[in-house]
Amino acid sequence: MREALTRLLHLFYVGFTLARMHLTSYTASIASSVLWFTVIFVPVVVFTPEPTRAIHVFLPGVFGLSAASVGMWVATEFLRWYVYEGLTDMFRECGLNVFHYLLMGIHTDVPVHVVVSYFLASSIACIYVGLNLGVIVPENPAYLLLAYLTAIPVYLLCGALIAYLYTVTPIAGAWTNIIQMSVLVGTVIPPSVLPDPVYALVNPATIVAELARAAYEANFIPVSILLPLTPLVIVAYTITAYVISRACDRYIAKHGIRFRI
Amino acid sequence: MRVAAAARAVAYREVVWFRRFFAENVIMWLLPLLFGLAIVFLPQTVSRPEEVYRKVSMVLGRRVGFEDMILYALSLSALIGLVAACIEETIQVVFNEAKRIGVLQTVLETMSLGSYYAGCVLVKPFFVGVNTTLYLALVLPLVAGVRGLLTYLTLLPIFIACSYALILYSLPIALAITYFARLSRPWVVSNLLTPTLLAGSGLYIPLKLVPWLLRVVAETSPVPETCEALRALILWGSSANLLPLVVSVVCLAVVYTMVTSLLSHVSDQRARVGA
Repeated sequence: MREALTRLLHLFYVGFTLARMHLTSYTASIASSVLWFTVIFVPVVVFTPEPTRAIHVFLPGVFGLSAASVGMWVATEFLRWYVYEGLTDMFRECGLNVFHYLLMGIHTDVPVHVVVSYFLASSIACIYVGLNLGVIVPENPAYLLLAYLTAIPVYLLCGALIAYLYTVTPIAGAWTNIIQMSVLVGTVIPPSVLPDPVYALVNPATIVAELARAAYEANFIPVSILLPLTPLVIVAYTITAYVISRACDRYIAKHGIRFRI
Repeated sequence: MRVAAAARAVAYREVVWFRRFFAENVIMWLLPLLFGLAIVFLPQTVSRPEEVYRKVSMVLGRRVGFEDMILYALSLSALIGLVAACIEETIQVVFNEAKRIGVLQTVLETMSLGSYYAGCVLVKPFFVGVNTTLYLALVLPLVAGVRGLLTYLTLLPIFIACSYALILYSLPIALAITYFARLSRPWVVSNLLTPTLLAGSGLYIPLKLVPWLLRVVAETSPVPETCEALRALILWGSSANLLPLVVSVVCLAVVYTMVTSLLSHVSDQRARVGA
């Protein structure tokens, strides 16, 4: 147990050092995400007759979407860009697979890309439509905290899934980007568009978005379903992500991985 | 003659790249398409459609229905791929050719940097303008029939003109990054510039709603004028007065050309000594 904890702390240290080394890219990436949000979501909020409701429904969707997307970016970074520079092999020689690489970022990537980007984007949306910034303060902060805790296993699972897809299929990285778009349903596209909003839970990121919506009482799936599911999802997604990452690593050990963009 | 040779080579390269990076092209078509649909349908997931159209009409200053709104959202979305392709490709290709893949040394054996970039400017914008907006030729007629096809044919020259001006806008930035600045991560500039210009131009919303800081940055580029021109043509049709916008873009293009000529002359000397 102590050994595992030490290893985890080492991973956090490496993750923190990597983030510090790439501080410029990190800052630029946050600014870029917020600006892209401004391009797409500000018009949606401006065109909605009830801007406050739009902010409470769509912004938490971005919270869930970011958790899944960041996991996918981090995983493809490990398997796509690092392969070219030989870094993937270096990590693997130290017994670290994509799961460990994802784990390195849970104290930097998830808070920064998911939480900080969310509050920045929400503030900008409020400024555009002339709303008080108090609108983004959650009515039930406990649900937002739960959304954050659930975002971590979702980040791990989505990262592991895309890593497996990229490893075992010969498809180009660009096609994996198209598959990533499927996580839009249930997050940015509210579950209310489906015949039964519960169907949206097929998308792992939906529960994060819905818990974040519940913080503003704008959820479509009842809290009575979300709350019992949360601990189950945290455990199940983490274990599944680990199993998939191991399978991914075994595949690389047996067949190797071809660098492709 | 050398400019013509460069133009031919760039045209060949563009065709080869189109085939090789077809998957990337599909994404460049799909993403703006999704964004355009999101602008129309996401507000309708929380409010009644007629209320949404009323609000949109109020914001845009003209009564719009479903067909107007979908034509408006899809057409303006095409600018996302166009701006991204012009800015990011120009900056990254200029930097990579000079600093990473070493292609530029081969080019400089036969022509000057100015001739090479003149050839690029002659050909590349046409390919980018057509390629990034190609999906509209299929999508607009699908959603609005003959009106959609006519809209596409009316907007295509504006897209091509915009890509000419945008590539002229990005070339001095690319040359400055490559030969005059010591940036370890040049892609940060291109990755930030694209959303800054789009956000600063308002894209789907009137420019007056955009905060002044973003607007000032965007005003250095032809993107706000292009948005205004597209908005005017889609919402008011042929009665729109585009002359002030055209004059403004032409003036900007002249300034960009002058700066590019000056910078490419100095960059040529730097490139030949391996700076």
